[in-house]
Amino acid sequence: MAYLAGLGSDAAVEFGALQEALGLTEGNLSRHLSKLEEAGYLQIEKGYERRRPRTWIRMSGRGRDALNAHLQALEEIAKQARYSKGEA
Amino acid sequence: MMNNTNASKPTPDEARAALAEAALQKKRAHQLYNRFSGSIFIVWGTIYLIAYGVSFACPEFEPIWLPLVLAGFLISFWLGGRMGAFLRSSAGRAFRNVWAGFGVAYFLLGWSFGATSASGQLFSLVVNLFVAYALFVSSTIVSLPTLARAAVVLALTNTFFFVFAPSWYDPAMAGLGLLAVLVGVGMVKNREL
Repeated sequence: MAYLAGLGSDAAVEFGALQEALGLTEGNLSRHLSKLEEAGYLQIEKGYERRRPRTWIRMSGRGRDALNAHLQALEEIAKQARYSKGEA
Repeated sequence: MMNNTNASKPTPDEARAALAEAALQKKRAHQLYNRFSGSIFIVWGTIYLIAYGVSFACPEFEPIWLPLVLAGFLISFWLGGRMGAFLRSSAGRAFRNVWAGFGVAYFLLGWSFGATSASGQLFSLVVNLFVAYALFVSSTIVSLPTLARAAVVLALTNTFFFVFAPSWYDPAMAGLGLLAVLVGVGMVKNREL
């Protein structure tokens, strides 16, 4: 999800390129993407490019919001720990 | 982790590690634009190095410019097409439009200057200022500071040598071409400058 966020808010990346970038097997990536699509965080579009079948993955608005909320929650946890250490 | 409300809360160390991983993935994604821009720098840096070098050392071979520039445009749009085969974004489209617009302006300028037999060095000055502007606009589209720095260096060097040392203009531009190649190699190897 973070990788997709880094490409830009409206970017769509091809399945093979994403697999190579993340270093995952085809099956592993497909499983992750299916779960994220079920949760409504991704949009997966299938099409053709120069007669070759292509699968395009794009993060949804809900996915961006969920990622931002998740990262913010992680920041809070990390910040609280730093604050606690400071108090001690 | 994002979807499972029953998962236990991460420890601070786990949170920091997850944040670092997310930041790394975002940076790796952004490096696609960095590597693409680096490839373009290598292509055009090589063209500048050869064409300006030849113009300075062997002016009789100056017609080498046209085939080199045509090759440069073809290679650039081929590289863009390759990137477009696996990444689609409004930033990518805007980036392509800026450089397609520059291409049109370049050929119109070339025709105008050629038709009026205006000074070749004046043509270079104008084209390079257009290039600098296109680089600057591109840097804002894909958020790559290296492009903005390249724009500033090109604009200042181009203008300085045109005004104060015109006999050294061609070697200066050839030198910039060499610099562009070196910067491009660094960008392709994922070192943002």
